[in-house]
Amino acid sequence: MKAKTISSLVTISLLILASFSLQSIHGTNTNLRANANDEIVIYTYDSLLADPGYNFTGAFEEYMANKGSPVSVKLVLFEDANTILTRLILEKDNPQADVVIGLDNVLVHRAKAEGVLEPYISQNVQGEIPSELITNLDPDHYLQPYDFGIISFWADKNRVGYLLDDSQSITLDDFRDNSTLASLLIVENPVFSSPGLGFLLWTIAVYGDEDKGISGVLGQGDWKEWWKETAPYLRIVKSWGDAIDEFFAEEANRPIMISYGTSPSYGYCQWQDNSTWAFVSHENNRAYAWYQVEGIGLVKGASNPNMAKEFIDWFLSEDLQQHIPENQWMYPANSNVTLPQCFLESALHPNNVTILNSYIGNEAISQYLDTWLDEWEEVIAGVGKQEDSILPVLSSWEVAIVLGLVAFVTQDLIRRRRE
Amino acid sequence: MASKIVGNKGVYDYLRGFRLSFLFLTISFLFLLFAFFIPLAQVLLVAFGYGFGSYRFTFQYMVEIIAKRSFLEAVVFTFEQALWTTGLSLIVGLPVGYFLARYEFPGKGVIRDLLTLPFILPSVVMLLGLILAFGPDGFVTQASRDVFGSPMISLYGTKSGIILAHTLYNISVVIRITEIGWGSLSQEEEQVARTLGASHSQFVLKIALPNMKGYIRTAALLVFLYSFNSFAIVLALGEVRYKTIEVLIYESARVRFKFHQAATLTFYQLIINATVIYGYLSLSPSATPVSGEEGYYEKQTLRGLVPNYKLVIRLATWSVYVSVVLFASLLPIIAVLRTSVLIRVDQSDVFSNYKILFSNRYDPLLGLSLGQVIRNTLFIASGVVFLSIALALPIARYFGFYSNIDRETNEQASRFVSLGIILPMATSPVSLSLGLIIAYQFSNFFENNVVFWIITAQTLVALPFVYRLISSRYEQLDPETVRVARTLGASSFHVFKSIEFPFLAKTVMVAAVFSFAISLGEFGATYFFSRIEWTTLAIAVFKLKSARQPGIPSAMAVILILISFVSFRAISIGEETELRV
Repeated sequence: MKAKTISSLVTISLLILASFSLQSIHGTNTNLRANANDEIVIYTYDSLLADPGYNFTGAFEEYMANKGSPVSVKLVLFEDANTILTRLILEKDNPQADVVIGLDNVLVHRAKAEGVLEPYISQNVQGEIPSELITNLDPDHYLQPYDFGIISFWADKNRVGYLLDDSQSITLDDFRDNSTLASLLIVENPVFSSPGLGFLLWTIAVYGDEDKGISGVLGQGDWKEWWKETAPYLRIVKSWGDAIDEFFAEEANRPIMISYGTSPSYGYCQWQDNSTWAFVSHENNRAYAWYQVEGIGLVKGASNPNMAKEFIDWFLSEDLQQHIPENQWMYPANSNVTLPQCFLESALHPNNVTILNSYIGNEAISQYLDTWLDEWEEVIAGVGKQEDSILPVLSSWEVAIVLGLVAFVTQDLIRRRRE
Repeated sequence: MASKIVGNKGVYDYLRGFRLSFLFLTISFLFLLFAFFIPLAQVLLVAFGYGFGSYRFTFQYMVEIIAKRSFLEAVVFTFEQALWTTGLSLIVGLPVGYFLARYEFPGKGVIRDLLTLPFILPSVVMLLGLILAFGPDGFVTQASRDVFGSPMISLYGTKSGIILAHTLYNISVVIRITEIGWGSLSQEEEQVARTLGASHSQFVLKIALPNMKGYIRTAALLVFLYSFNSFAIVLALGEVRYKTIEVLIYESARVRFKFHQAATLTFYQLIINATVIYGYLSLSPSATPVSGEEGYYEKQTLRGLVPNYKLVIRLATWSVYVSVVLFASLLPIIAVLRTSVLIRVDQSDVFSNYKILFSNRYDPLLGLSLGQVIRNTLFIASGVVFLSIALALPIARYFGFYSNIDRETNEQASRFVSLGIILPMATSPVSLSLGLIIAYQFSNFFENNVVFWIITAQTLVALPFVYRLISSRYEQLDPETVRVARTLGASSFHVFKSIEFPFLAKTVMVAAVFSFAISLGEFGATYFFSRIEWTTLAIAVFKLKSARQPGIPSAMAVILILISFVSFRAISIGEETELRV
């Protein structure tokens, strides 16, 4: 090619590029946020009402169309509740969402401290949402409850059926003292996942934290010991979704995971499959569990607050709440909803266990949550690792390679010096 | 003084004669100052306790973090996996480099290209490919389960998974560099050694390898630095247990909002990177340049060889070895291609995954339509192309060319400038972004124009490469031509238009393609800033990597592969310049 042709080619392509950029600016919607009154943006996690699935956005659009004010709902899905909160904090000064669904009674403290929510009370469901749920989630109404349940162990009878009877008296100590048992368990990372965080608080409530004046159920004062001894055998994954993938993957051989007391209903209601069961820990012969209330809230600075409020009202009404048990597999917050028989037969209700939350208290949670996560990360980083690969066999090689490299560099340096 | 002999222009004349070019030069420096040096200084201030509500200097954060198990574990792991990767890549790659340097056979060019392919791929593509091949549902895992009854390797949460990923990535770097090294060995030396009775292996160990130490060191350094600063792969595969410092910086700043900690980590990471690079430079004062002369070694061809038993065995061993390495390095690409056509949204149409990418189908997992992802990607990439060339050109022009003609800057100043422009390269993408965020996050402009910061960060990543390309081309321009033109009264603009630009055009084009490819595949900085509405292809691939529908991210990855490959070809056709610094 001649130089001239090339230079004109470059000029032309630069021009095309430039015009394209300009065009993109026009074509690009630089904002996610709703800019019209007939649009709302909802942030939630990817498993909300997802299995077998209820199209709640479609239902709301239809509901509003019938009401005479059509709206379109833009759903944005995240891996886990903590990720949603992180996103809300990052966008605090330029909020993109109108409604957030899925922050719970633990995350609400951080959400309030960061100022990402706006308090709101749905008038249409007054009296239908038990006050106990509201006090447990947030008495200040930054979030309103839409479902609840307990965090629990969830296990597969086909693989660990031999544990079925023992699990009625199992303790957290059992997991610590019996590494075979711990080797069966999948736990979610509390930094990212809300059931994972619930389980971390469960261990804190049981063992206590002396430095922070929490004595716990057992009054021993150091929850970190449990993690230190158990962690080498645990499988710690990022999210509840990752956990369930591994739970069902036979060769991973992890038939117990941290899930919800209502998880067994999933198989039982759909296929009369009672091959899984849920259990909690039984310290001093009493059943204990962490109580979770999930909430829906209005995002501070939402661009379409009126429609967002419409949505929240509808989400808490019987209209939607009746779909919670068999799609979300949690207890619906609205007490007017009648629970299906199969649900009652298979799920663990919070009333059947002693709730651990009061052993820590809301104040301590908002004060220490960050420290606890730090401490948890430190504990996990420090524990020995059970590698399931060929590398441990070779770790003496590793030393050899490093030594070899050091020797090589030294020899090289000495030689150079001599030259 | 030299300036008396050659032209008589002083700074003042320069200002008068080249006002426009000085304007551009100033813009370039201001960009570097505000996008890189000020943010970097801010990070250091924050690391020493200054900023975010506290306004006194303290070593508290520096000391505190050393006592942290999570930090120590991350440092140890970062070194450990980087050393493993370096060792394994060298062991696997060196023989292949030897093979390519010594043997001539039909189709060699294609094989070399294919072997080099992984090295130019965006890390998210590699990651997706590995998950599709070696993940719990991967086809390699399934095959190995059928044959051996257990998966070959567990990819998630294990050291071996991360080391495998990094090694597959880096074998190609070793092959590419050592091929040149093997080729640069003197044939005479070998013949002398052989005549004196040395066996082939004696020759390789005692003469060949010591002689190409420079190449091996260069390759080792590159592999080490790459895996030391690895982000996407470790972020996805390392889980809670294995984190590189880079991942720790990201999590501190973007998940836990601990900016002091993130800044301190960045400080330590910078020190380690700088030490490694400095150690390398001081270890090999006369380090052999990567772009040595190639091929004065006579290559062995098959033609005219009398087949005998030994030869057949040797060739068979080589072909098996090279095929295995080739297959292993291409596995991720094969996995991505295979998935993109096999697991489809629409069973009746083989290319449905690709078509859907350009449609307006809304994807709730991404929070925007797939077509918008493509538009975002192209928009950001064109911004990066434009900015990086517009900023690199004036600096390269002045310091790579005019400073030589007019001899008015001494060499030290020139070296200082090229160090300044290459310094962002020693800073990891996540650290670059951390700097920008710390420096500007509280401004309204930041909040409302996230895309500007994404483009800025990506430009910082691309700039050193673009600068190297353009300035090395400038160095080839004959100063006499320009001098004559100027003596004859041509204006600066005229000289640029009719002499410099035509001379540079091809290189500028190559640089454009290259920065386009960098922008497309860039993950660390983009992920750091990522906003849902500005999701790019690379971010989308990462987000969808373990989704139930792997067909769509695979199709996205295939597009990234194609663009990377095309740009790689464009570079090797366009220029003989080595792109690595």
